Amino acid sequence: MGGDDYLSASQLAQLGYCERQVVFDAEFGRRTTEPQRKAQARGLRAHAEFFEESQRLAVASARKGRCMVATLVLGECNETRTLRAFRDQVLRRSVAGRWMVRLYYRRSPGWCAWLARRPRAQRIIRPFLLAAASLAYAALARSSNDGSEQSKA
Amino acid sequence: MSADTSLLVLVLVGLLYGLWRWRRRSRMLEGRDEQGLPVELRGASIAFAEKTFRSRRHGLVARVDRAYRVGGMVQLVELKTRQTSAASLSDVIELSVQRIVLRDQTGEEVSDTAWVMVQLARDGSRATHQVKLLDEASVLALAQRYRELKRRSPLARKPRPASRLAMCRDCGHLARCHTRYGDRM
Repeated sequence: MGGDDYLSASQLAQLGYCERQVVFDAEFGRRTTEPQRKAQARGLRAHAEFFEESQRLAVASARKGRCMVATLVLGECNETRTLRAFRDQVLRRSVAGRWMVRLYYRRSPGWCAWLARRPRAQRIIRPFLLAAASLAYAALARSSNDGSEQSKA
Repeated sequence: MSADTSLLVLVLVGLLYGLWRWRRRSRMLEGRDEQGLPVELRGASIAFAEKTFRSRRHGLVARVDRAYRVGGMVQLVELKTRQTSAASLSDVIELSVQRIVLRDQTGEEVSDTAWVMVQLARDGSRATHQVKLLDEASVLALAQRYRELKRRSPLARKPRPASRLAMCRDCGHLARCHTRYGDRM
């Protein structure tokens, strides 16, 4: 990665692996074995897929709407993000969930306009939204644990 | 119904079916992309992906696999393909360098914890491990150590071997290492 006077992160990471390798590489040049070359090729393929995923995620997050009521009442915070993630990871997976999301987005501009003029009402619904966010967090954590076991690249 | 009408209906049904399959696949891909991610990062916006950053003042460079913007901070994610699901010291060093260069180049605040996403070579399943990053002084000390080892400076006379013998199995310097240091076999 370097190719100049800059030290790269992967060069420095070698120190966490084996310092002797750094010395031998300096003396004799880098020597890679067949298993290492295979692992490198596998890593490159995985990184290419990972990059494509990143692009899809960036496009998806730009396309998806903001959770309007939560953003108005709680602002841009972890709880709002959790509710948004719950919408995308749980609700959007089923027909009924997608119907609820559509209904919500149809109604929420009106609710937001009403709430924007009533700070007291915002204070009242705030704890409910926070409770909903912690329930959503628990649901996501459960699916995250399942996902770690099951997700395939 | 005439043959033309039947054909038109057939084409329309085919198109609708294709559209339904495409939407289903896009939804599935979207969901799958976030599987294996920790809850803290789900739904967060991606700040950078596969981007190189440099720190002029420290002479360091790093490529960031993926970084999320969470609560006004940048959180780093490093992808690794491995046989076993674990984060290692080399991951911590790599991410710590990424933190310094990203902060230096962009001026953004970068979290001192990061995520190592391990993709298992045998089945492609993923798991994430949260790691605490090294501070700047420790990274700079490592950079100094690396330069000394490269120069074969007397200060770096005793380079440390890999922590476990199994890590040496695929090393291209294994025979040389055994000859010089009398171990690792």
